[in-house]
Amino acid sequence: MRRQSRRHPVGRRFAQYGLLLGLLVVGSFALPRLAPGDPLTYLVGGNEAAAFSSEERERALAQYGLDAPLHEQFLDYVGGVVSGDLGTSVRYGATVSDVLLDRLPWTLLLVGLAGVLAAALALGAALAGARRRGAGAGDTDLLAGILLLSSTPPFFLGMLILAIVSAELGLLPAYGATASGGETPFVGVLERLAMPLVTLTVTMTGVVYLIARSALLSELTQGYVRFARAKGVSEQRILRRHVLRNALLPIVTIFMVSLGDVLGGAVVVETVFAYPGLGTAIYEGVLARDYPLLQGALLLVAVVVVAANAIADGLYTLIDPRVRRADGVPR
Amino acid sequence: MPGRALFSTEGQESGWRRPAAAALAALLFWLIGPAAAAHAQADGERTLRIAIPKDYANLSVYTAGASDADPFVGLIYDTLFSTPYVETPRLLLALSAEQTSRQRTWIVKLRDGVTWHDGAPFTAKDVVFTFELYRDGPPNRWTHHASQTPNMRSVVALDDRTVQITCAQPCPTLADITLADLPILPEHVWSKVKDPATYDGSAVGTGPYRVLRRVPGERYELAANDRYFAGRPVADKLILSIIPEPSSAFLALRSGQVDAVSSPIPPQLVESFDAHREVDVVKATPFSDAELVFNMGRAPFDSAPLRRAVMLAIDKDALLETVLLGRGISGSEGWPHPRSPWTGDNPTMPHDPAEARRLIAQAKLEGAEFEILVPQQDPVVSRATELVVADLRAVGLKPSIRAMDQPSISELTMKGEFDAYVWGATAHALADPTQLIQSFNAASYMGTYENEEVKQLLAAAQRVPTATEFRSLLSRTHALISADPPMVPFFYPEQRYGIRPASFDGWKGSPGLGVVHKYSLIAGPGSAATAATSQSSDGGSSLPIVLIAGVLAVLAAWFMRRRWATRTRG
Repeated sequence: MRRQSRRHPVGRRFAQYGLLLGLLVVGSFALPRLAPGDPLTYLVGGNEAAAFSSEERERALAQYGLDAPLHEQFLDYVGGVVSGDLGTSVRYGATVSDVLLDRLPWTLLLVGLAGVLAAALALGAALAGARRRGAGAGDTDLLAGILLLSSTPPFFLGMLILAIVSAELGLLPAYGATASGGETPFVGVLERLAMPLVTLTVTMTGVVYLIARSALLSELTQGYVRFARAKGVSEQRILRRHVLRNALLPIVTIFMVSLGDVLGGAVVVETVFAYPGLGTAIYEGVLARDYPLLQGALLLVAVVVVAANAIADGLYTLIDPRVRRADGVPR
Repeated sequence: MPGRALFSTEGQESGWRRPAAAALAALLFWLIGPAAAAHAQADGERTLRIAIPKDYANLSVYTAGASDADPFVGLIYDTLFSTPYVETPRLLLALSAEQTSRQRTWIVKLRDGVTWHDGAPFTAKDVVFTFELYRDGPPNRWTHHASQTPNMRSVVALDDRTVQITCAQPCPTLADITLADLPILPEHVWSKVKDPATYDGSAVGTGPYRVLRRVPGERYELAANDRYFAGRPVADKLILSIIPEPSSAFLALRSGQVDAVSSPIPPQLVESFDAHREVDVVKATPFSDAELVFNMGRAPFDSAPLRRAVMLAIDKDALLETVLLGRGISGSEGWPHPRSPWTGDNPTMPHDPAEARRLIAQAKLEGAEFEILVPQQDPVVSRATELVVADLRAVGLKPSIRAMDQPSISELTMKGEFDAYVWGATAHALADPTQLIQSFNAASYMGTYENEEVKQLLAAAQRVPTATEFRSLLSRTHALISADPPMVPFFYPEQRYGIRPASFDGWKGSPGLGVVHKYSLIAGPGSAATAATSQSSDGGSSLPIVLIAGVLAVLAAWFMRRRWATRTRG
């Protein structure tokens, strides 16, 4: 078996991902139930829920299958995951799949664009910094500025942008994702995306920038850089063609790993800008102890993060030939 | 390669390059420019934009949630009588309601000619179906007002316009409270719904507004119900925008992107809104409070003297001044809400730390330690509790605070695993006497209140045949509760709501409902309510968009011409 698995590194990796997904299914079921409280408080209010008779409590929870023993609920959940039926949301009264499908595109748009912009900004800044290492305006000032912005809590930064751009200057709408009339949908979406996008991009940029700068500076001390300089290759070409390629591995890793954090940050940003993404649904699901919604959303987020890591694994083999050789993938 | 051909330098293709640049510029203007122009225009119809704090699912009675959804559910659905929190509720779907000589039976005559939003006629069958569903179906926030307090033993349609309701015990407040609280559902829609809790179809009611469109997590678009029987809807369209963060909602109000915010203005922001030229502040009594509730089922608060000592130790007037800047009613005026039409002449809950110390010493409870659970998401309540802890320490007690989210507090309170907790009660708890009876009857922590006299009075209140007798018993109960308190109110806020009068100046504060509710949004005979054409837009200024569109178009044309020129020269 071991010899076989060595021959099929991709299959081994898929097995690892399969095991991980199994654990995530268990985790997504258990986590919401570990928190105190149950959905009744949301359904009827705390005081009214306390006034329910035990028979009424059972009847209320039975509507969502939450009166069954835990192992039965778990088997139902696993069966639902396999068949694509994630149950019914207590908070929204709709199927969990519908709620997630309504919300996911907005979060993917926000997080995806923020990721691309943050990566581009971070790489550009890191290249500029690496070229002028130690120089005030080109490197240290840039480093201080990016660190300052990125360490600003997203809630505070979001409120600041909202207060200035929307409330004071009246340039952009303060809430929502789409226009309710008058505008073409395209413009409505862009206008409402701008402020959350800037907020999330700024909070994402710092980490990628730090790793990128460090990786670039480390590569600049390598012998091949000295050799290229001795050959008379321009500094710009050395950075873009040689140093950047060799520094990409840690940058891709940190970018993909930080996606989980970004999704967490999106909860705050979506709340500030009333952006109807997955983050606000999860937040409201937590307040309502909406077990079906929470387990579906947690599983979805986990799958997105695992998928991002799988993509990163795939990118390694493209970026670095040494990884290709180690994995036994033919060049 | 086809891609190259586009930028070919061959002379015969150069004739369409200029049109291509023009087309690109036109495309950009089409995408951005005209939209910006439309964006700058007023809607041309009477549209009101209102910020609401959360998504209330499909606004139906089974999925919208607890009583905080009442004002919005009420835009869609009607009750037989209007709001239960006023002295004499108005007739709404009912024409009359009379208690028969048998005292347990009511005959309710219904309004003729009312139709549901889908055009079907409203009949007695709908009323029968609704009350039976609340009583026997999946429990929701209204269930115990059909199954327990009061217990509707039978609901019968005598004809299309007449319903007979018989309670298990005399129910003198049925019309004034119960029938003013329970929204009526269309039988022809809900009888086909297998599982009401998971019904996510469109909400169909008889109310002044019907659901036009729901964008999950983002907004509801409601259209006026032109056939509404109780007044003309003041707006052609209502847009209820979901803005969960209050600061964001108030920024949107300041900048004119919404016309009203359904949540009250935080006390510290009231002055800045008072000074705002385009925003008015409307007062309303929400019948809410912040109160400390004791667990009487275990030590130390199974001791009545200690509970009274805590009540005396808390300086409720100072709390009102410090936390609410004096805007509201002090908890020293007793419990429940002093302005509720169902509250008698409350004995006060005074501040007397010396007497508190004496009671504590007498009960030998000096230095008693206990924990107060506080909802972490409510800064007003948290601040009030910090001051209360200081008051309690001053009389020799040792309280501590534990901040938790509301569901966690509810879990502990339902299990009885707490000493005391603070919460903000709503109108349903503070101004609806049937809910008070319900709470004291419950098998939960409130059921552990060992005051036989109160229990007997509440039991008697469920048997008396007239509202006058009911009110008298209730008043005596309030007096006993103030002397031997199971809870201590800190204050009753007088809420202020932010609205933009240029868009609409007819907002009315309604007890228990705030300002965003159907009674604000319909113009009855003689009403002064007027709706101006909406001057708000849900977007910002169009100028930057127009500028960006122009700059992009010029740049695109310049770039393409330059590129073609370069290639032509090459």
